Amino acid sequence: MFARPAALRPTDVILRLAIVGLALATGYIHSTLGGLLFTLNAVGYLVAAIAMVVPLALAVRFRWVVRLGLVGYAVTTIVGWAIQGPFYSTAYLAKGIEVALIVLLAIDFARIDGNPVSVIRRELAAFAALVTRRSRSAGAAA
Amino acid sequence: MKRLTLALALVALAAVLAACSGASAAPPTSQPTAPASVDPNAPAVPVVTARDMRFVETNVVVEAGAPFDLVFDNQEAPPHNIQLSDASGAKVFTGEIVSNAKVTYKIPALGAGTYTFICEIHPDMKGTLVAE
Repeated sequence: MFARPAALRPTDVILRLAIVGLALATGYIHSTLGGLLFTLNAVGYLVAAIAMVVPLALAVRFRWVVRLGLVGYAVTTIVGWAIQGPFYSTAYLAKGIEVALIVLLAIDFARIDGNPVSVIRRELAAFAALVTRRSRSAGAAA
Repeated sequence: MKRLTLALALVALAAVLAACSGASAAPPTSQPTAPASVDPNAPAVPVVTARDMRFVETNVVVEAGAPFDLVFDNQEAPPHNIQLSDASGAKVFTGEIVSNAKVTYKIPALGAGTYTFICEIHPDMKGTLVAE
């Protein structure tokens, strides 16, 4: 259930902590704004921050999904703000944090996972192999 | 590669710090509450209160064709403000966003008509202002 400790370098640890810190910071800002939408946004950042560090085998195996998901989440938050506003100091601070978060996630992805296109291809191939294996074993049992 | 990564991480953190330091540079769009006027003939200053994620006063009447003061009293931690729009939806005034504070907005003269006001952050907070 729990993953074995991975061979993370000190830089990786610092990067991961910075990502978690930034996600929690923007989540906290959103939690102070009141209203359902902002509260849900804060909860999303909290869940993503936990998913970035939780040592469960499933989370470690699919950390690349968490990274991409968090990038998409931050981008969506920024685009939503750019469309609707409001444009004031706290919002600029939150968006600055989110831009930094996206940059650090991209660096983390490049260091740990490599090229995102290659990762997606590899995962699709693994999924296809799994489906083929399952259907063969089901056919053999029948 | 390690050095490049570290440099990029430092640039990202510098961007955050820059955003923090520039956060308070935005000019206020309204002024803090000044001591109330003592002129007994002066018209009453309309007040809009924000509480429990809604405006308490949802119907405000003001004089048309003359600038006026509007006291906005946000009695809770979530930030709110007042943004006035005319019947066509055009924004005619946007007040400073405040938390747990009372401010007086200096609103320019409005033509006779009905205006809607919302909180810019929480657009579901709504009210109506009539200039007559």
